[in-house]
Amino acid sequence: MRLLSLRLERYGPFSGKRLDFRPDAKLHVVFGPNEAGKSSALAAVTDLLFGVQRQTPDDFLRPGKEMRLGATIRDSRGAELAFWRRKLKPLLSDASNAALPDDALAPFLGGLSREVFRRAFGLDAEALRRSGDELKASGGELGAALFSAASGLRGISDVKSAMEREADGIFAERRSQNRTFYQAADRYEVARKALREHETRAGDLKALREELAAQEKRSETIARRRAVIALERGKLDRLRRAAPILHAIDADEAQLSALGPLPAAPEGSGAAVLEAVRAVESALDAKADAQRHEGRLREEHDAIVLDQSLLDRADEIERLQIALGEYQKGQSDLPAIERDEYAAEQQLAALASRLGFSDADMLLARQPDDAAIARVDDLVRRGRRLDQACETRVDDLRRERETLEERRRERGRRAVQRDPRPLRERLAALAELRRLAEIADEHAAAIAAEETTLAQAAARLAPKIVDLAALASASLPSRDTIAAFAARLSQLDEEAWRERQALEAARREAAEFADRLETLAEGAPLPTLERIAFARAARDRHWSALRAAVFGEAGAVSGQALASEAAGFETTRSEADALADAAILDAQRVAAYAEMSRGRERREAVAAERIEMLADVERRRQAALADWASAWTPSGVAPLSPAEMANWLLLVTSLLDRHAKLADRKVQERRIVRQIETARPSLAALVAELGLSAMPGLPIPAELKRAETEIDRIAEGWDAARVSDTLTADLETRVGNAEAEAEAARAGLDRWRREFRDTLPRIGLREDAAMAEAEACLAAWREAPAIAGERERLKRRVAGIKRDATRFTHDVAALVAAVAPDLAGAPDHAMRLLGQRLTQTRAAKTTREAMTRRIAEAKAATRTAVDKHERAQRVVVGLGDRLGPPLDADLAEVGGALAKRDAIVALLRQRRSELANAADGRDEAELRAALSGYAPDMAEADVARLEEEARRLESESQEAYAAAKEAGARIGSLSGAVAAEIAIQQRRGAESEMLEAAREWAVLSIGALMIGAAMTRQRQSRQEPLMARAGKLFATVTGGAFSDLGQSFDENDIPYLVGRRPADAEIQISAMSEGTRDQLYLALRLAYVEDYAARAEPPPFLADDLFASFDDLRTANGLKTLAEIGERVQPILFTHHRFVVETAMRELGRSVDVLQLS
Amino acid sequence: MARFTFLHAADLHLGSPLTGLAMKDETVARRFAAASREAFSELVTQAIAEKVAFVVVAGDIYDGDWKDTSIGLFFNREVSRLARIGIPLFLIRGNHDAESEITKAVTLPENVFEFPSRKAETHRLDAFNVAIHGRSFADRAATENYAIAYPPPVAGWFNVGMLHTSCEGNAAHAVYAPCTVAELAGRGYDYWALGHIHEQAVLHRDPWIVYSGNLQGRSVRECGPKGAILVDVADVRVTGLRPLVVDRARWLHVTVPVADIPDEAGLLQAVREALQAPLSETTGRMTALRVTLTGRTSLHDRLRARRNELRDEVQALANHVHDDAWLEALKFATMDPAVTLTVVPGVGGVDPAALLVGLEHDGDVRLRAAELIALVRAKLPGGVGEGALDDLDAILAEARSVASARALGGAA
Repeated sequence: MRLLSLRLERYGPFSGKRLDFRPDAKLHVVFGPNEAGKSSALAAVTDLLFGVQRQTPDDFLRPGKEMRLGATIRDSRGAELAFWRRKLKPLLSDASNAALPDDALAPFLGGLSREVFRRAFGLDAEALRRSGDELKASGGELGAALFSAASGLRGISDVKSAMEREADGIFAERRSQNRTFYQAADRYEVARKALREHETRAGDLKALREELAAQEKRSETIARRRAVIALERGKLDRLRRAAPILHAIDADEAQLSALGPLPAAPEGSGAAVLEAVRAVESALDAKADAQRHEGRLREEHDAIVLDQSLLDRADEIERLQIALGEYQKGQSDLPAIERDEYAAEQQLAALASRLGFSDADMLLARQPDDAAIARVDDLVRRGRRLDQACETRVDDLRRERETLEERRRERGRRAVQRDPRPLRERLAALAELRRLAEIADEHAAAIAAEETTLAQAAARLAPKIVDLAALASASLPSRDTIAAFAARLSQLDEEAWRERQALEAARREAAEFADRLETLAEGAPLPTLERIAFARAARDRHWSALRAAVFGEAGAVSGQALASEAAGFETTRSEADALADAAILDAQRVAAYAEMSRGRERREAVAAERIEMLADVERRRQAALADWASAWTPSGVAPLSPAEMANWLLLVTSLLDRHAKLADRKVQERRIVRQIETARPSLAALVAELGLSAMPGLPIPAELKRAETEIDRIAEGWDAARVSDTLTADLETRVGNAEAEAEAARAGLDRWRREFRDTLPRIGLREDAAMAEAEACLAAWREAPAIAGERERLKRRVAGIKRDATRFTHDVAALVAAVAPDLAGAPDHAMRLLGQRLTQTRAAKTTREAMTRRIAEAKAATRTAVDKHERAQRVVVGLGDRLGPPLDADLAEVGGALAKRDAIVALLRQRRSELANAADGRDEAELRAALSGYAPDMAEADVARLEEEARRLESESQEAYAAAKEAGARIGSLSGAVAAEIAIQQRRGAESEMLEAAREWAVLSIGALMIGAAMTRQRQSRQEPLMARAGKLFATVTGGAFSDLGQSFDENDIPYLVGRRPADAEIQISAMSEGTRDQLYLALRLAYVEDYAARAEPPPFLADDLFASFDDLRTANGLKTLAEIGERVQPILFTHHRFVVETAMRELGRSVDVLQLS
Repeated sequence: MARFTFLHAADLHLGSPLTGLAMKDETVARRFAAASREAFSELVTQAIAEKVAFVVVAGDIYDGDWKDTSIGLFFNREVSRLARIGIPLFLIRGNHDAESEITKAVTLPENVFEFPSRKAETHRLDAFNVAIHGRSFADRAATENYAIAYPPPVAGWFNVGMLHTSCEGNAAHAVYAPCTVAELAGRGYDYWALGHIHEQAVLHRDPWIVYSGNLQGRSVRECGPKGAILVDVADVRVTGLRPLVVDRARWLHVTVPVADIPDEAGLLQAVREALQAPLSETTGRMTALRVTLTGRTSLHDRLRARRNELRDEVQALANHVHDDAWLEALKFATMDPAVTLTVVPGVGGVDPAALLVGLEHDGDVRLRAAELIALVRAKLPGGVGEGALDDLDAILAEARSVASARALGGAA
């Protein structure tokens, strides 16, 4: 399919633009300088053919609904279609705006998709460059190379190996923990084992159930046997208990019959008879005892005697005994009281003498009244207080005065203070200066940093820049210039390479000739013409000497020299002859040698020529380098290679940008510095005013700080002075107050003195007596009344004691004379004895009264005993009557026998009750029957046996119970056992993972396999004609440097691409230059496009500035190559390089169709 | 007027694992494994709380291939709770437990009545005037129609029929004792308690023909609430059905369309939004979550490459909404918009897809693919993945699609 015309009606930047493509052209070059819309035009062709995409970058200029493209196309059979394309429906319409079906273009496009079209039928410089690189990276591997060239897809080998790597991470035949498949397999295995371990099979449960039943049955058997044993044991025990009781019963029965015949009497009669007999006896004894007791009491009563006179005067005796106590106390206290009285007398005498009186009586007569004493006392206390107060005031006053003096002296010493306020205001006005200074500093720091950075960056560059500023103003070569030099030098390199190849070939061949000449020269020396000529020349030289001698020519040799010449002649003649003879014999070898020599010379000549050519290339290269260097002369830079300098220029441009910004910053900094200089004198004036020394060169912030510190210091002094003045004024006030108070105190004291003087005589002191004297006198007067009172009291007491003693003595004497004349004498002794006698008499009286009462009681007891005896006698007689005959027997004996019988009967009753208990209610007769075969010793053995068996059964029973419980518990726990479920859950999980991994691995492995197969397909399909065609295109595009493409095989038999030189030398891709590789890729691609065209309707081939990095020669070759496919495919090259257009016109003439975009 | 409520459950599948859960966290796996047991315990608790008159279980108490007897003991323990308070339980064996060894090994308490497999029988509950008809099955497969041979209803009583069946052919389940709704409705019973189909469904009203569904969803194919049905009866008529939800682990499948989403952050945002509502509904219940991404997206290749990271991200997103949700699988059903498989025949290498097309039919490729699959299958433990890798054609198709996607995706 070919585009005949393209109409960019409304698309991107275009309006109503029309491009007509000349149908007979082999190549269309669409020229559009920058900004002309080259990219939009390229996109337009794609959109035209395959539809406008939903999001089109060209939307920015034009809403989608307005977009409109048009074209006339023609297919390979000559069918034409003129149509319009829109973004919105209807998408296609014909020239008359009638809607066309959406797939109306399909026959012209051969069913290609947009993506395939873009990749396979579009190519730009960058894609070409990268594809060339990939060719090198893959070592020219044929499959990958052809795949890439055909499809426009790169990296197919990488994709394949990435898939293989990915698959290998999942699974490989060799087990590895890193592979996800085996990780899941491990989990599967763990879960499987856990399942086997934890699964409870029906058999297990059945076994448990059986175990449980067996143990329960065993328990039952044991229980039955234990019951039997218990029964037997009970029987034995019963007999063992009953046997002794039965024996005792038998013994009791025997005793009963031994008692003989006895009156039939109810049980208990014997005991009653015995009791009655004993009652008579004891009543008799009691009667006798009572009578004896009564007699003894009467005797005792009569023995007691009483003194009635004493009893009659008992009251008087008791009163005097009380008085005896007081008497005795008075007698003992009297001497001490008399001593105290004397002491009081002495104290009064002493006091009298202290107050200046002759004796106590005088003192008491002159005693002052209480009012006088109180007044003096009051005055003394007031006087002391006033004195104290006056002293304190005077003291205070003295201290305050001293402080005031100190303050005044200090004030005198202090310097005059300044008010800081005006200074602060001036400092505040300088704030702007500080801000400016900070900004200036910031600028300076940033500038310094940037300068360093730039200098370092510039120094790092190769070539390095010494002075960036100088460079900024110098002119530098443009990027285009550098690119042109790059191309020129690269061309020269290529030429040099070719010359060197030729030179090497020539040298190699010359060396080969030399080798072969050497081989020919081996063996016998070769009789070459040169050697023959050489030998003949030597012979002729000798002959000339001989001839001169023979013919006597001038200068001829003679003698020894002549002989030597002759010998030489002979030798050289035979040598020359021998050589000539050998030459005839070895003619062929000689001829070959000659030929070889000529060949070598020719090659050497060629080599020399190549060397010259190389020198020429080198000269041109030097010239180019010189031009290159001179292009840099204005900038003073010694350039490296153009490629490096292109890079360098990029870096330098950025550095220069930064340098320009730096310069701007410097300008700003200078402006601020100027502002600072204007404001600075104000600061200097302030500093001077503050009296600070000028410090030139001090930074502004420091200077401001200095001024601020000084102002702070002044403010501090100012504040301190004001505080001090306030304190002094306060002190002065206080001193004044203290003086007034001291004066008032002194006046008070004077008034008191006068009053004191007037009062003193009232207590018997002189007027000028001191306060201490008055106090002493007052103390003496206060003591006197108490001492006088005490003396009087003691005197009265002595008199009282003496009076009482006299009365007591008289009373005692009268009493003693009346009742106990034997006791006359000391009154206290007599009174003590009288007291004792009275007490004894009273006790005797009490005893006799008690005796009288006890005698009456004894009489009553005697009567009672007699009554009791009579009653007992009657009871005995009654009992005897009731028992009846034989009355001859002693009643006591009969009673005893009856009582014995009663006791035995009771015992028998008790034994039978015991027997009933012991024998569990068994009948006595039954027991006696059972006992008939009972042997106690055997019974012991039987019990031991039964006990042993019972113990054994108990232990067995516990075992069976535990076993049954264990089995039951295990059955119970199984109902909660979930381990198996968890294990199978985990096994299922692992299965899922393994299957997923296996499938993923299979998909990736097979996918990689398919890619490999696809590459092989690609390599094999139509390889021969394709390679042949690509080879031809390669020859064209390399301008004949290569003649063809071929394939070679590596050590693994993998085929790879090689280029062939015209001389049949194979050049591997790794040995090709970058440009050559790009050309190779282009040749392959175009071959594929052409091949496609042979089998399907081909769209145009769109090349986008493909030759951007090609030099002129290569561009020319490239253009020719594109034109070469122009017969079958329509190649359209978009470019913004005018030289490309010019080259195309020059090289292709009429075959090229140049269209202008703008 | 006699009023009572009974409980209809089926398909307990006690002890059988939930499928598809590749939980590497042991604790979580343990909890999922316990789900079916706990669901049944909960069912018994609810039955006791509701004071139901009786319980019917319409088959598949156990899985036939499940050999662990302890699950039988567990079932015994739980139904004994019903026995203790006198609630009778009626059960039939279904296809999965027809041949179960467990049934033979465990003797159930007296309140449990298991219908015999010889023929259908009737059991009467005099206290409620209820007649229950049922039949167990002796084999894994039952292809004849058993419903037609059920006994006639007891006149004047409430008649319940129990049957394990694929009524009217449910494609998702194995055909089992097939029958039609009309046949069941014509039997004259008041309520048909069916088992076998795991989805709760009322096939007919009055007479009622009901599938209670299974107690606990067992795979991502069984999403949504699961449990049993409480049937209220008054005066010999069904007055209402009350679904009883007892499942412990909920399955949830969320499909997220991701077409037109330009980047991964946007994609995760879309997933977050899509998960919000469904996950909120399962709050409080352990949830197994499957997320499937669909649509043509340019992220297709990237998603496949970052499969594991994305899995973690989606798990985290799920946990933002639901702290007990576990990602069962993150599936990529996306397609790369750049991938075009339209092929021009015979144009060779210009279109790489054309080179791959047909390779799945290439004898050599098929042979080598089969060898590869055999290689990995040989490493699978016996019995695992029977038939899982047999679909050579599907694997080849997928491999070709992956290869195409990668080849085109790898290009500049």
